[in-house]
Amino acid sequence: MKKSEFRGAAKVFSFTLIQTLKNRAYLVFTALMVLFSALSMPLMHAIQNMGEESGVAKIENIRQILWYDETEALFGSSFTQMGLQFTKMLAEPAFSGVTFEEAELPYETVLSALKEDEAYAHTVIARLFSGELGLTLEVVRPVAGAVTEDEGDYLADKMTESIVAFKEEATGLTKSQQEVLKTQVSLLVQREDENGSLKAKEDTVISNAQYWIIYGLAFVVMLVSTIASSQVASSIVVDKSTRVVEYLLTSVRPMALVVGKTLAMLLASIGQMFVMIAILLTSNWLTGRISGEESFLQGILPEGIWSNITPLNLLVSAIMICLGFLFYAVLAAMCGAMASRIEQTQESLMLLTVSNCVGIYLAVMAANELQISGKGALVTFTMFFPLSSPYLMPGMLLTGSAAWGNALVSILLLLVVDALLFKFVATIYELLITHNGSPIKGKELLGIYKSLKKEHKKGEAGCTR
Amino acid sequence: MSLEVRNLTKSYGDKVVVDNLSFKMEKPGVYALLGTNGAGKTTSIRVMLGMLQYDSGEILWDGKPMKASERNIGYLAEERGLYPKYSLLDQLLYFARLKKVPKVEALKRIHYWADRLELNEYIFPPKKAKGKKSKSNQADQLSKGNQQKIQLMAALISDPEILVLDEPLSGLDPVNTDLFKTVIREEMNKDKYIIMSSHQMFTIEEFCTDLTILNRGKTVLSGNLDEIKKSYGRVNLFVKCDEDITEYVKETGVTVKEKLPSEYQLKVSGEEEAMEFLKGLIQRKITVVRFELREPSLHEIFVEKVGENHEEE
Repeated sequence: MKKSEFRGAAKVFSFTLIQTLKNRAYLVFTALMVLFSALSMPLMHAIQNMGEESGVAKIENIRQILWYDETEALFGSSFTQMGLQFTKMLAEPAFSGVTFEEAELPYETVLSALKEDEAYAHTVIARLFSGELGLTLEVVRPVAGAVTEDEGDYLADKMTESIVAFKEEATGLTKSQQEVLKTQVSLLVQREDENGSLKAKEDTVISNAQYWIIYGLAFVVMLVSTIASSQVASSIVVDKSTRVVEYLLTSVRPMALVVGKTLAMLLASIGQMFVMIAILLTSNWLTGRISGEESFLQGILPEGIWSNITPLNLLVSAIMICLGFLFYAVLAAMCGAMASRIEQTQESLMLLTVSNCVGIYLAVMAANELQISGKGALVTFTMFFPLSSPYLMPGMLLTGSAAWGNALVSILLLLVVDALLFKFVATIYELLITHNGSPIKGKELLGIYKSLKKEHKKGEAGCTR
Repeated sequence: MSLEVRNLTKSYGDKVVVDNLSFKMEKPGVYALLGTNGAGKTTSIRVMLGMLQYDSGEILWDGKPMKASERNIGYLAEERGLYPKYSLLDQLLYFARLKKVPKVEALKRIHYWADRLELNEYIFPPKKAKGKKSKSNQADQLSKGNQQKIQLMAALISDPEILVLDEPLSGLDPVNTDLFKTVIREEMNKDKYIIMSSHQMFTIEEFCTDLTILNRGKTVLSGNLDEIKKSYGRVNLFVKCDEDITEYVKETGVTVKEKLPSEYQLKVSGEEEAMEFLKGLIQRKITVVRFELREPSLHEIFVEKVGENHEEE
């Protein structure tokens, strides 16, 4: 490919970018995304706190808590006998006027009274017992009484806090230490290598939070890639359907057109994504600062997640995402050029849609596999397969579930595939861009490529432009 | 300088759409490419403009292979194309910048052509009271004629040395037709190399000195228009008299091409037969209002040539 093929691409790029940024649909969509990003964090924070606040307001409907402690069978004496008290909980303003007493009547008697007797309209049964799932706290409220579901939930939360605090005090173990005791024992088989270092077979299963990060990032990348690709395709169809392309081709080569347009649309979409993420993070930080509490993202993300979000990891992820965008955008440019009229756009985008679906489905399935059984054949394939690697690899890298070497191999493969696709598109684009009539079918592309390669050989013999 | 197309052939698969096309413009002027629909005119133009590769042949500028992207070529396409939703000024500036015209110079030229083609109010619309621009600066708000004027501006904005006009006057009203003709004449006077394709034979005769007629990709006639006409000779005789000459025409046995209420269009073998015909009228003391002997029109030559070719096939 000669340098002259790209002459004028910079002018096509700047014109397309300016016109896209001035486009009303683009501005409206960006404004909506900005609004959504800015409002989502305070909204999520408010929803998160809503339950607690409403519970505090309505606890006044509970007058009596009847306590059944059936934990004696476990340790020889019940938690209550060992010193479990709810003093701190009952001292809270929300519980003023609430009486807490150990039940004397059998559980079943009180339970049936709770269903029928109006005298129990403001009474709640709280029962702690051991079952298959370990310790269970059961809170029962009267069927026809005034006690609401929120009040029941609030009471259950508060009692759970007291029970956890008692367990920590009694065992001398913190909550997280107790959690570790409850987890399964992982297997770590190690062997000594030739240098005497230990080599371990890793446990590659990811946590729920890591899964959602990989899934969420894949979804955002797919969303932006889809928007950018469709914009590239429709921009090329507009050039063709309005016949502007004929005028443009008297000044620039088809490749300059495709490169200028693709990069401009990509930049506009990536800019949109960055603005959205920046506003989302700012909104999250501001919400935390203003409320004086833990921000929404801090609350849902696991501790230590930020240790993998290093500048270098971000850079490698950004390169991967950009190469992925480029792949889909070049594919979109080719698909756009296969149509002659706006109404043919959807039909011509079939190849792009199928490729995109394959990419995102593989990424989601691989994330599932990672969460269930760790790195297997599907994950390994998806990490390197160019259709899916831009969706999966950045998330894996940023959650520490992929190694650097893997990311570099993925980048190399994407680079090779991008270059091959570009070469293919460069060969057939000239014919596609001047084609009018019925949309060209995907299966016809290879035939066109072969015949044009022959023509290009003739061209080298003198019949060039 | 000269522009030459030598043995140009272009095919799509097995179908040859331009077959061995050759012509040469030795000096500035207007060269016509004529043909029926699907004759290969637009494909030939697209090949010359570098939009399409070709199978064989040569396109030469001043005797050397011409690369369209390296020449300053203005193009008015048959099917007009403008971005419907972009501002006209932005589009014209973009087209000018692609033709390597500096921005300041481009703006100057846009102002000139906007004045010349009476497009100021569309390209530079007056601002609305609240400071918002009115919508009429978009192409989809313009009439077809005005869109065509914008296209002509786009073709001329780089002050091209070669101008390709594909059906420049189609769809224009008489006022705009005259305006376009004046602009084309001005460009001719600036020593431009103009290639024109049209179905309007009168327009071609008005501007062109040389032409090629294509039919299904093949050249059926090519050369200087005057020489082509001379080669046919003065065989078209137009006669208008005060009296009915039907009987006399029958007597002479001259071929009648067309009969109007008081006028005959006849085909004669040459000047001698025409003079004999006139002598007869005078002898019969018939008052002759019009007696014109002339070469066939381009329209007639075109129909004859393309018709012959159809018959051969």
